Amino acid sequence: MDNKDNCKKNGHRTFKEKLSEGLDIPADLLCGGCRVEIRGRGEAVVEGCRKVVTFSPDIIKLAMADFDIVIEGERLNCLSFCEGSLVIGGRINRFVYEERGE
Amino acid sequence: MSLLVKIKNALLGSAELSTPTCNSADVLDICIKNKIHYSKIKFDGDHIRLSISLLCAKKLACELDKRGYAYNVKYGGLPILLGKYKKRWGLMAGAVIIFCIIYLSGSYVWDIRVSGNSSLTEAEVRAELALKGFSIGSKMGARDVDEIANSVLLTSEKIAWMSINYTGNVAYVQIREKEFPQTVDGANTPANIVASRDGVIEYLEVMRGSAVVKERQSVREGDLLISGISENKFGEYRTERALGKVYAVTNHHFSVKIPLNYDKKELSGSVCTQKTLKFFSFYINIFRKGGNLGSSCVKIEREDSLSLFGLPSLPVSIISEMTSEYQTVSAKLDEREASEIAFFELENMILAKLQDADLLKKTIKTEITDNEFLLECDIICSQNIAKSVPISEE
Repeated sequence: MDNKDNCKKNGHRTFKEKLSEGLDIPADLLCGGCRVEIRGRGEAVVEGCRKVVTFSPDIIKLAMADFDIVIEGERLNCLSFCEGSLVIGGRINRFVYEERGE
Repeated sequence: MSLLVKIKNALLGSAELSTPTCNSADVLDICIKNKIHYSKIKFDGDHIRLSISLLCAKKLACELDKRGYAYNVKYGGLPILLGKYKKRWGLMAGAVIIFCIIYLSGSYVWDIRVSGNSSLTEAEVRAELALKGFSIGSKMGARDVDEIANSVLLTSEKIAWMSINYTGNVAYVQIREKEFPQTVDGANTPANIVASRDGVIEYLEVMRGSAVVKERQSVREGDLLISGISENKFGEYRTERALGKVYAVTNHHFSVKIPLNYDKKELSGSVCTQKTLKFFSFYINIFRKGGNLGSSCVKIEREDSLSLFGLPSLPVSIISEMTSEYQTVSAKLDEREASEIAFFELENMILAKLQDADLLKKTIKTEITDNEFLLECDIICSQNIAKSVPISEE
């Protein structure tokens, strides 16, 4: 775990990332199991969500496996959900991947 | 929220749960983890409001209670409305009965309207239909209307064509009556004119044929008056249909006997009245007043149909029956009563036999004995005694 954190800090790729790139395996299978689909500026489908950290009309923060996703915008709402997938609607201004603990 | 969702929420019931905004993330998390689906989520100031089904509301409320979060739930929809009136079961029963009646009554014939009839009355046509099992209260669609019409035509002597159509619950029946030929023998059948009774000829009106009698001539029944056989200058005979009127003075004798002793029905005073409600073809006794009566009774029945605001009658009517017991007693007519009856009968006889005759003289003689009243009338009148008789080929 410390090695992994050190790798991330120094910008080096982790073993999983190297394996995924080397064997041409889709990144979401080995590295986090998260999949995001953004349709235009009004809808985003996020798969692999573990928990909702913050939910308000301006900011939605979702806890994924290794990191958090922060969606900032206006009139944000959770339109529907199913089996760990959420559909976020509203006007999306910013989409940020945040390391856990920041 | 789509219209379908609104209708679903109204019918199955829904709830609106509101909780402070600080709990919004946890509430959404609970919904995701427990698969509590909401139809609408909205931020309203410092509260977040969710529209969810009744079942999900209970589940969510339970989860929020476990975490100690404050919330407020407002329930709505048909189940909640019905729950308010659950103790007033009479309303429910009444509503169910009304819906059943409306549904069931839509399957029955409410009224039958007849058109196209001239000599037949509407009641006679309805009676013909009733014989074939089609009347007010019959189930629509139980039998094909063409089959009903055809079965009426097979047995009816006066209806040539019939059609039955439904408009709503009203059956419209159109008919065409049979037309019968007027004369027994054909218009061109050769015939003579003979006397239908004895008389003295007053005057003749000959339209076709040759008269063989003269005015003031006395004739007997069967005598030839106008001949249909004519001879031309070559001695050849030809026949034709003689046509004309022969007016003669005739004598008629009428005799009326009225027995003075007769059996009279005297009401004993015991009366039984009964009122029945007729709904389609169902009969419901409303009340009955009076006990059991003997075997000799007179019954008067009257049916009053109900209608609203002058509209055609509804398939609901009140049947009033009045049954009066009577006993037969011997009675005797006095002379005045017997005379009235005798003269009445005489007038009917004269009307039946001498309808087109001109009365010249009438002589009336009456006689009363112990047992009967006798009325004798001699009439001399002027009438048309012409009768057409076909010429036989022999």
